[in-house]
Amino acid sequence: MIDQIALRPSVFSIRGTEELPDRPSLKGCQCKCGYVFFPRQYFGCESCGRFGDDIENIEMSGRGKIREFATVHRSQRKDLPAPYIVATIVLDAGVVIRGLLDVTDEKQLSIGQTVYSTLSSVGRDEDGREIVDLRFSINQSN
Amino acid sequence: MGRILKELRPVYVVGIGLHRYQRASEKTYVELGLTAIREALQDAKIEWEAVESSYVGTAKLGMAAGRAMLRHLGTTGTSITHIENASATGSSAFRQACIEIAGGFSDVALAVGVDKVDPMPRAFEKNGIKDLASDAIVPFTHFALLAHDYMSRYGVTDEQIAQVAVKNHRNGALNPYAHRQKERTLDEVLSDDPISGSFTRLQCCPIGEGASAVIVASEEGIKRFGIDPSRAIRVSASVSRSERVYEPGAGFDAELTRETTAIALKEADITVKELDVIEFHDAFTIEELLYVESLGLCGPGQAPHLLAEGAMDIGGQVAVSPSGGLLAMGHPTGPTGLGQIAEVTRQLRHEAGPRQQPKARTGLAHMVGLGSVCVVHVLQRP
Repeated sequence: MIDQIALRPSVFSIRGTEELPDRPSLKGCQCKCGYVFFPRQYFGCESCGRFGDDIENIEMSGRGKIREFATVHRSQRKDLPAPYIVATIVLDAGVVIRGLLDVTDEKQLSIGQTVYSTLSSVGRDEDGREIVDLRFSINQSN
Repeated sequence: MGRILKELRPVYVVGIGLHRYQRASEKTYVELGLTAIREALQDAKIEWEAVESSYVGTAKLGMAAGRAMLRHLGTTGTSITHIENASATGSSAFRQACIEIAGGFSDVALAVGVDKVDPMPRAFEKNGIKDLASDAIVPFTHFALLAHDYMSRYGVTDEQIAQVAVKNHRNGALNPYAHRQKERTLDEVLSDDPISGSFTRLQCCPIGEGASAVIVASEEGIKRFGIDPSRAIRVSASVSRSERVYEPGAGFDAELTRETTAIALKEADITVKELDVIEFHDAFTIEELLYVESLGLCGPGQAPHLLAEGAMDIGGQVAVSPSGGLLAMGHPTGPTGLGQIAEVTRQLRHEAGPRQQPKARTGLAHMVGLGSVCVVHVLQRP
């Protein structure tokens, strides 16, 4: 695990939460007004306009339910060949996010299905460490 | 409290002109734009010298596109302002021209939208906020996800959604300015190249080049330049809104459309049933169904039935996207919102030929733009 680094370290953490220690967590924020959001930013709360110290970091567990999904046949990203599968996921924390699924055939998917965050190798950095990106998997075992 | 358009000086559309929307060509944007403007001047039967202010809508050309084009009409020294508002660029250029007339700053103003097939640098990607997968979920996938949600929520099939493309291509086949001018069967739509989710290429709008121009005038302007008042179409509402925080996971495009169209109908003092013609931002098939419901033409999940009954056809209860919409007429971006105003005007003048919605008196034009923003206009035959 030590040799892995996150592709987008401001978005997710390789470490899990207390509640779900074995799954990478997502980095969100909670404003003093109660609004919870993802991804993390401190420019200001979209709901009330508070900023800076009024915005707290929170770690969200990497588990949620599929709300809808789609197989994408045209990729705009060179590092991501089509087809790939994306989904809208309602995290246990109540936040709705969109992410890539670690699934090759959408026939394995259904609405309401539970998914878990997982790390997917996307290359190596110059020191030979594995770069990992966050995906969602339908497998409960890591 | 601010004031609404109807409380100010009446604004009329008096001239419309377009350059056909099409695939990228060798033509410069100057030629595209001038073609549309000269057609609009000819339509209004006025000279360029009558135009006191110009709003140039372009999302992709870059800085200072306007004078480099307008100077070829003979310089007059009048105001030129550029407008960018993502997909709603042309709609916002139109709105600014309307505000200028309504506020009494000018008696005749031009709104012109023009774009080529250029790359679109997106400022919102420069906010320094990293996201999980937003660069893998571009608009066609955003709407493919909404389509999947809609299908599962209401038990609707992909064939029912694809019928929007069949209708809009049928309308586009009658529109000489449309990018796609070919009728398509349901089989052709469904068997075309897959793009994302249930969407095939024909369920996604073509993004080409083109231009649209609209001239607006006050009653004074109409009198002063001898414009035919019987062909003037009143702008009864102009509303521009932006996205707020909705319930987690709510479809923000539909929510934003719901609130913006509701304000527009209220400002125009009409009910949804009075609409004869609607041009929606139907960049993807599902959008038309969502927005028909947001507008209140029917309840949630009912739009496919309305479509199947023919209620949204030309000759039906309300002609939706008689131009072919973004799906068939196309979405060159800067011109798109103004092309909608041109189509609604043509319909309300009863000059739409084979696309004519019988006895059309009231029309609505709606665009959403990335961000998201939403701009809605209501036009009426006096």
